[in-house]
Amino acid sequence: MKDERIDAIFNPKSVALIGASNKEGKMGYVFAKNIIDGYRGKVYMVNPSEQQVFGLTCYPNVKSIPDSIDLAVIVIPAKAVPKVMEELAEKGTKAAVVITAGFSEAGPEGKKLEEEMMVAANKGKIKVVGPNCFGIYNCNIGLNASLGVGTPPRGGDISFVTQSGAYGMAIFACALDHHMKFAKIMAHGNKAGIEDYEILRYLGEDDETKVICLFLESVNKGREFFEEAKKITPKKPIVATKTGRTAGAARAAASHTAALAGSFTAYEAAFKQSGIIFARNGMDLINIAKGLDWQPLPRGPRVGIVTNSGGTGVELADLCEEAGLVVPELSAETQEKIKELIPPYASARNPVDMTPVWPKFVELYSKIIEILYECDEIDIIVPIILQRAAMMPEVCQAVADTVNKCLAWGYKKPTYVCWVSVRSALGNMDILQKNRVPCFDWPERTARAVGAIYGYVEFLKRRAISFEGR
Amino acid sequence: MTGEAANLIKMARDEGRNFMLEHEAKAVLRSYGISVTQDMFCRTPDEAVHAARRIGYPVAMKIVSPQIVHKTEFGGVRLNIANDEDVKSAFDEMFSSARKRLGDFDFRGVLVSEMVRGHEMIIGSTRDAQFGQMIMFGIGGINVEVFRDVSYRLVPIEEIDALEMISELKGKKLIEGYRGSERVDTNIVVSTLLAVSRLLCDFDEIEEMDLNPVFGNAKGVKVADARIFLTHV
Repeated sequence: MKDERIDAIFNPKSVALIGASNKEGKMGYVFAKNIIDGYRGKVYMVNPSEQQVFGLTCYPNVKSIPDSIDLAVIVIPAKAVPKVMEELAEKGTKAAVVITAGFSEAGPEGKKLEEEMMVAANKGKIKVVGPNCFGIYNCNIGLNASLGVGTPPRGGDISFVTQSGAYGMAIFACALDHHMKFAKIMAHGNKAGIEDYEILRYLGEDDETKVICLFLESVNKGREFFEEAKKITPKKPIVATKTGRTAGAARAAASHTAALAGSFTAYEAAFKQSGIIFARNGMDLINIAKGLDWQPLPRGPRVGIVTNSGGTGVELADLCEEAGLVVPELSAETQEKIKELIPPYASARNPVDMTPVWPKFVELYSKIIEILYECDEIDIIVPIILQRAAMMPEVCQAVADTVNKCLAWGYKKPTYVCWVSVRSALGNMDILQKNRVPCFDWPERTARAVGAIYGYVEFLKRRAISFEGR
Repeated sequence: MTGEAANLIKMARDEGRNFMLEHEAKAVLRSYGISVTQDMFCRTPDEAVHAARRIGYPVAMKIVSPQIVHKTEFGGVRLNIANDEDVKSAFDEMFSSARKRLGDFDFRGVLVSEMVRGHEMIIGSTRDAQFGQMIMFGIGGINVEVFRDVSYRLVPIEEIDALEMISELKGKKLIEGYRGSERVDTNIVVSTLLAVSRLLCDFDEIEEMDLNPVFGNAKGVKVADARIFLTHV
């Protein structure tokens, strides 16, 4: 059973914006605009000093709204929040997202305000996100109740929960740039009224969420979080990054969100044991999630590298092996098939180095990738698209088409592209990623992401958990 | 949960202690089927000689006092004692060396133990504010002290977790046997870790535990020294 009150955060029938404003640059303006831009449910603006906001009636207070409210979004000053929370409780509001800062993260006075706010919320059983947070999205219904700009595309199935507002949203924005599509986003800030394990449970049961991403500074109720994660990872992957791993950074985290950062040892143990994929940083988080979302899970650790540059191929091979993957020499039979295509001075051993024969790139990338799909000795395909190849849109299109053709034939083999090129070629990277062929920048990030994805597969395999069809 | 472990923990509590004496800690472990060195608690030098003969030379001797947690610092540990004379003099010396430091102290006696050979390992537990009790495993000696080559899991652990804990250690080759060195029976390491995990789950009042060293060889695993700290009440 889905938690109804958490569901009200993401799927509200009505939204009230407390602190709505017509003044550009004000928080209440940004939220008003974001909410009405994509959301098709009922919206109620609340502000005693406005008559209308964005053409909608503006109510002086919560009480005067002639309807029940599923979700209240609060952007008024901290001091006024406890009182409004009481009114919302009386009205039977299901959930509230408190954007306002100046609570427990700001010292003893703020802490008192946060407690008062939570007493009121708990009286009315209001599920509170925040305070001191960036907001939430449900991309699939066009709901943007956040400080982020724009309405993200629909049809995504990655959900992302972040404790850090601005960094989390930057990660999200970069991910959108990479054509990744999301289902639900939550920045939960101080986490005064919502526990990590509750959100995890909700997303675990959410059919629209296929990959769960977490950006954590700390975890409250670690035990419950761990138990919940253990139930979810056999069905869908959880990728998490955790900041505050060292003593110095832990101090910074404590003053930042008033959270008590536990020792990383315990997180590490909990992650390993429950099968949570550990991301080293925000970029790693995006890359791993992208690989998991767009490609099938690898059946084994054997990587086949196809490159137009021997040097990058060798560097990537080293890094793959260091990441726990294997780069085996191809069988004589497979090498024969490849040798028929490539110049006599090129190498078919693995990495398959076609050398810089750029007039033949389209043909070579396509055919070699297809051979690697068809052979039984490779589980993962990593084409390196380096410089000259990256500057050729037809090469990127050919790689995307080949990968999707082979996947459509039913091969359960992922392809991840190692992308090494200049800024002006980024448009060609889009060709691949719009076709759900993930690109990772440079060999290091590629090996890291692929190694982490395979680590998850190993976790499933060791526990004899079937991942057929995934 | 074993009644014996519960009784021993209660006994320490009743005495107002938040740590267990070595022979108590070892009795707790034994009641969970964890193999510990053969020990005899002795109150006099003569008893110690008798014990050493029964156990068989060489033996180890360790002081027993509720006022002494870290025995080595008080000159309270002697290893490889080979004959009756040395047992007697070690008994007296350990007593007087502690006496010099502590004045009149609660001296209970000494523990006479068998000397075991094998690879040194360490099994421990600690508690995290968010995640609760964790179990730790490491290859002992320099690997723990210098390289911090240890692995942690939350309790309870399952067999697969215990296997992963071992395989995570950089020094795993040391116990898996290399260049003809004796290998440790990893099945027994696994069952020991599982037993320790059960103990930790049964007694949430265990704040911290330190089984160090634990000696392992092809025949088995034996805990040579054990410290158990209880939560403050």
